[in-house]
Amino acid sequence: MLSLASTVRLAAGTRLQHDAVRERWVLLGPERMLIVDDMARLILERSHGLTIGALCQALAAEFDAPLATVETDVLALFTSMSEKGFLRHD
Amino acid sequence: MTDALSPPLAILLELTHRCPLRCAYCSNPLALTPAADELSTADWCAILDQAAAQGMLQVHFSGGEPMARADLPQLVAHASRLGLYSNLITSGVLLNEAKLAVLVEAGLNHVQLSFQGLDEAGAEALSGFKGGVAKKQAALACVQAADLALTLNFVITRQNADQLDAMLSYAEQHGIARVEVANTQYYGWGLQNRAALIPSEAQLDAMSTLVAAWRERVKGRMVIDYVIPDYYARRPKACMGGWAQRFLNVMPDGTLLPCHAAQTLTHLDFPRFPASTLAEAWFESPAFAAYRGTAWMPEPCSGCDNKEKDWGGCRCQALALAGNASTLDPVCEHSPQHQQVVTMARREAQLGDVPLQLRRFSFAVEGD
Repeated sequence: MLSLASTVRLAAGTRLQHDAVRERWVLLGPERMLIVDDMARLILERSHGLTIGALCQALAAEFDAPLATVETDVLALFTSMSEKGFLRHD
Repeated sequence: MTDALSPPLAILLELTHRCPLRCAYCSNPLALTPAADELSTADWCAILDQAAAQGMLQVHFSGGEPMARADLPQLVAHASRLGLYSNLITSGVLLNEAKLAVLVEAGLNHVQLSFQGLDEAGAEALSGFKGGVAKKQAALACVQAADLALTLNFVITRQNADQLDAMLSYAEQHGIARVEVANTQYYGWGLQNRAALIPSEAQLDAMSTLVAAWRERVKGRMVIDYVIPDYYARRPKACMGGWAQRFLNVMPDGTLLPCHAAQTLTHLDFPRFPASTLAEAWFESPAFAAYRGTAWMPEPCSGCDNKEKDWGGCRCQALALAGNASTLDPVCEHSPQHQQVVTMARREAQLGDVPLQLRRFSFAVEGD
């Protein structure tokens, strides 16, 4: 289970790529693709080396958002990405 | 469709029909393309150039056995330079440490390794290849040692359906992140051998229950993709995510298709590279437009709530089972042929040990 103490990383064979023709960002993995909006992309890029809890605190401060809401949203996003195989977590 | 037509997301290159295996379920056409008619390295590179320029994001190197092409590393390197995500779909029997190192160096992103089961005798009966399991296990070790992303593809027939739990355990023990449980689809050689291959409904129910339990248990560690033989379903699959909506396939001789089985639709005139560019085929070819979207649909498909979910199912299956590519996919419960198809599947599944007709190169007799 993902928790605030977890750290996440892109799964092997997964990468974040700009889709220039369709003007969007996507996660590319083995025989799968996930369109990521600007916020999801920012969260992914900021997640490097941080626990989810620390990431959420930084995001809540930067966007002046309630920490509990940020934590709920980020955990939901990462859980969904993990279950689809795009993320691994420790 | 009211939206402007988007370019395909992925391209599947059937580099060659040559293969050391002779799988009875192979979805390659019965009339296999001889080596002399395969496109050149320069042609395949030009196809990759066009694919990237058009906005395709992923390239699948397939076949036949793509490793039978000596220029595979060159093609992978070319795809990498173009920013394409590259996937090698292989039997693994030609893979070794040295060959894999060259492909990794070329920028390969992912390997999909197929297994016909885990016991040599069963796998040999299905594939006509001796000692394949040991070679595949060695290939798996190479891919993992190179730290390359890997999917195990277990091809399921009624011969090995009862081993599914053992296959998934094997994947789990090896820390595999993604597994495909791929029931054989009945196209090409697979259609010829359907009576010998199709699992029973009881086997299918047991597999579905097992997959659901495994998915729950390995959530977040191992993703299991599950493809069923849809003859027992009530509604058809969204074949290829809709005809000519997401995927472009290139045959060994450059024929451009919306799916790898589409050449069975002999009333359509499919374009061929290099006479046609990929963009011309996709955006202008009448063959690609023939079953795209919903305008072609007969009743009751055109009034169906699922029409933009299953896109009317599979046109090749409609032709193969109902004798008409433009009618309902008989897997759909609304098809007048549906009950007949289910009855046939049930009957064939009870036939027991039917001899398999292994794949062979036979160019003289087309559609034999």
